[in-house]
Amino acid sequence: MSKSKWLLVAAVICFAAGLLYSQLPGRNRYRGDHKLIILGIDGMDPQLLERFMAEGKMPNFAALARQGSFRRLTTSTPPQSPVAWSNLITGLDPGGHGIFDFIHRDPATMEPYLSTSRVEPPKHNLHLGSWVIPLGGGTAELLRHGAPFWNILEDHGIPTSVFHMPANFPPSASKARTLAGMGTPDLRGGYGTFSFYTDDPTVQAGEVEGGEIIPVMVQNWRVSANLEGPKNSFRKDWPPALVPFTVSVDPVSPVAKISIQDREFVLREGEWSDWVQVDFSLIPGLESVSGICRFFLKQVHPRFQLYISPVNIDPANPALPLSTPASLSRDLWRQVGDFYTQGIAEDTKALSDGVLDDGEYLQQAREVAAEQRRIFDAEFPKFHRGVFFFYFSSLDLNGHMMWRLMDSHHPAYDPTLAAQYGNALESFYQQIDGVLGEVLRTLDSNTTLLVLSDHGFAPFYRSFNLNTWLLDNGYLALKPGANQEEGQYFTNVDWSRTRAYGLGLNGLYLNLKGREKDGIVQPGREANALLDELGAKLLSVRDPANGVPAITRMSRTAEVYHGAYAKDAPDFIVGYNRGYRAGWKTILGAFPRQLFEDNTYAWSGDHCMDYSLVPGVLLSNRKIDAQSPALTDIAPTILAEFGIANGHGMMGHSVFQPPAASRSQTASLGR
Amino acid sequence: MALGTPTSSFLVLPIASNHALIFLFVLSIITGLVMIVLFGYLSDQNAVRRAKDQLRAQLLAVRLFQDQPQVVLRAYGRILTGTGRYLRVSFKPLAIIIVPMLALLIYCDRYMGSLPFQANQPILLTARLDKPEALDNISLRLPQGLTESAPAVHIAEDNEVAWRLVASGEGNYTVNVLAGGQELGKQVVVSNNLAHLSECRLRGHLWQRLLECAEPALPANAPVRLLAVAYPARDIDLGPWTTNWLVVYFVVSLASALLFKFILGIEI
Amino acid sequence: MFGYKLKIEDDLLERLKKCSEMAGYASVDEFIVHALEKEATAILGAESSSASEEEIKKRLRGLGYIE
Repeated sequence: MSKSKWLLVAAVICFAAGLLYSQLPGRNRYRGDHKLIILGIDGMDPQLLERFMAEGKMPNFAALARQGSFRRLTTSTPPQSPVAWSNLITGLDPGGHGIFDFIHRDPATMEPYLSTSRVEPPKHNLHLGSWVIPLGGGTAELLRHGAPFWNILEDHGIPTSVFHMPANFPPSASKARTLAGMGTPDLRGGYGTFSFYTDDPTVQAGEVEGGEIIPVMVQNWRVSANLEGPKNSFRKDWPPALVPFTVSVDPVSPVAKISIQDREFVLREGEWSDWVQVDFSLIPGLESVSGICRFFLKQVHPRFQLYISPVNIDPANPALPLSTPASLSRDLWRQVGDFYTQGIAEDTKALSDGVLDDGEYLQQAREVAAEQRRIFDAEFPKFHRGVFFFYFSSLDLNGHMMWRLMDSHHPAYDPTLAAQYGNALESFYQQIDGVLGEVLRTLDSNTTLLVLSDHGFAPFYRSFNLNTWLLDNGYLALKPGANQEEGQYFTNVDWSRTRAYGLGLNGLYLNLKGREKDGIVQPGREANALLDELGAKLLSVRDPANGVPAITRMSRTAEVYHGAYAKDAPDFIVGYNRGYRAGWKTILGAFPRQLFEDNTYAWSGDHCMDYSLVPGVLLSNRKIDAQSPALTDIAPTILAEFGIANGHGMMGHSVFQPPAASRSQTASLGR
Repeated sequence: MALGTPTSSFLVLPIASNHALIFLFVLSIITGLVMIVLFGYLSDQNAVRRAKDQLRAQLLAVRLFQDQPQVVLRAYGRILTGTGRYLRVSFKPLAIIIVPMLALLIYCDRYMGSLPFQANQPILLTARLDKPEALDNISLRLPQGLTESAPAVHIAEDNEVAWRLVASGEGNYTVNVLAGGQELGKQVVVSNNLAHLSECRLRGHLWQRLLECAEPALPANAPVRLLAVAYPARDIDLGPWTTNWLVVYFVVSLASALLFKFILGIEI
Repeated sequence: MFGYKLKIEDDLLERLKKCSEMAGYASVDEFIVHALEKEATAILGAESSSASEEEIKKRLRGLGYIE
């Protein structure tokens, strides 16, 4: 070969060697032996855990509590998952990370929005007839502020893996391996929209909470319908992208063949399909979006009933960012196949709407739990250095849905269903015990284990309509002639006569001049006096049904929050008593006539209450010195395990080395 | 014999493993080498070289005499005729090479185009009949290891019956469909390795059979027009992308051909 | 690809750093972005982010806590 050819060969070899070297695990990385494993279990309740441990149903947790430590973990104010996990992620309270509730409002427009992320379409477009050509891409923005603990760890060379972390969509830029969790939308942009197709004329077609009921006809034993996907931003007015499908039903047997794009499969009545990958064409032949969904053939005869899950972002080919590095979701897909990517995978709305019954919902929820376990089983054995965090959702969502079947005092208690499914929540607890058993088997003297939950759980017997109370007590006024029970999102509110309003699950805002669009309350003395008055009055509200106080804590955010975003927070966080929660319609600015209502919904357990009534759990294989550890202590604990000082603004301390002074949330008005 | 039946699987036997990507790369590189050697053997190398030299000379003229439009125009004309000459001297070897290439592609697609079924994975078997009345008189005889996991779906509008089967383990099964007093077999492969797959058995439709089926035609008097199973499509995983095996095959075999042309000094 | 870069004089940057620390921001970048966002909203007002009631409903759909 000529000299130039040899040079070329040498260059290729050098390039390949460099590439290989850069990929070697552990290069420029932490070389110590210490490891930290964190199991984040949403909604694990200390009382239930103690009961199940005492009954011998959770032997691994019992062993960990006995040999290590078990504490109640002070949750966030308010104790809502996005807020609580943001406290954990950043070591800041909501004043520092800016997440105060599931739902925030824009004071300039008074419109509510999901608090943790914003997905924006492209800002500029070129219009060509019915086609729209976007000039630049759309964006997905994480609205949580503050540095996540894994970024600080990675800056110190500690390899970190974080799976399904809530309040982290789109995943914040990081060198760590992270997979987004709660807060990740489906392809239609919401928390999850199912589709239900039926020829039953008694079922009302149209949009329901969390889904859509679509009427179909069975003609010649065949149903033809469309599956709705994302909006097509390439078309004028953004119509939804549709994928047609057909279902051929057998005239006699309860079985059908479903054909969608190039996929065909047979389902029996009562069966779930595997994940089905679907391409939504935006520009034929040029641009499409890939999604995945599951089919459930609820009934074939006499009525046709087919449920299709929300269309999830395809982890193999994600249309929106799901992980860091971006390739991680695809790597996981290679290992375990398709998996739910929407943040809240358990389809609680389908159960609430009656589209799935308890048994069908539990099948789906068990599959979600099994999928999370498969990802855990694929990733955990690879963990050898640094920090490993894994989140499990099932105790939270099933605590919400199954509480009524294990509590005979609940207004939605049904003895027949309780006999069938009364131990469903318990079995989900036992599954988590199985995961812990797997982890305990691998522990060595160099490994610290933290098992924690963001909050506990309580029954949700009665709802309190905060906005109705504000209206009844003259703090809020409707437009002249407006019907109190019509409209949502404060559409009938006369802001010129409104001093306070409730929004979200625990937020109470003043209509403050200079902040709200049509604010009338002067900041300063007038606002403070109004807050004093509201706090005292709300704490004295009694449920006429039993004389029990509905609210046990009113936390003034100006006093309990610290950091740059405290000024965007509600003025009060309303802490409901155990058994009480904000009413279903008051949350988004509606005004039901009744101040108190029985909660007869399937969503029967909750935690959006007084934070002191729903603590989470903290267990470790090491001795926890802190007597009342809090969520904001977790990030400092993680950092301290590797000798790293608190990040900027972090207020907590390692639970293994408590500060001299005790911590308390003294700024709350408590009972 | 249908093109590419298992009897001719000697070609892939040495590397019949589940390393599809390795097999694909090896096959593509060998294809590139064989193509270039064949081209060298079948073509008039002197004529190819002359045609290319003349093209180069005219391209040089275009660059050198940019200030003389007449020369440039004449050079463009000669480039056109030179291209024609080049295509003419290349046509014969290419035309000869393309026949075995096509056969090879069809043959390899039986291995690379789809994945065999996995044990416990649902298998959809479809039979399409001539008349809807026959739908009620069709049944299955399954070999050991295969079971029906759902009742059959009878679709009168398409004269079709669909069965969902499941295999308990790996194997090369033959499912027998009983219709109109005849017993018609259909191959079903359950495997974790590269395997020779045939999606359908057809009655008539010679070209479709050549391209898509690797099993004997259904008898002309059979009441069944089609027996088919849908093997999952095989995607070639290239890290951030997945693609069809043909894309990888063409890119790698082309690169391989160019490399061997360089090494062996063959003009193309 | 690399976003828009803004040149800030050193003494202004120092002042901004001080402000961001006093106000409790995690970084000076976060403080600057937040301040600019606030100003843009104040100038553009409601029109930049208005959404129909239907849109709001769709975005919040599926959240179990609401009806």
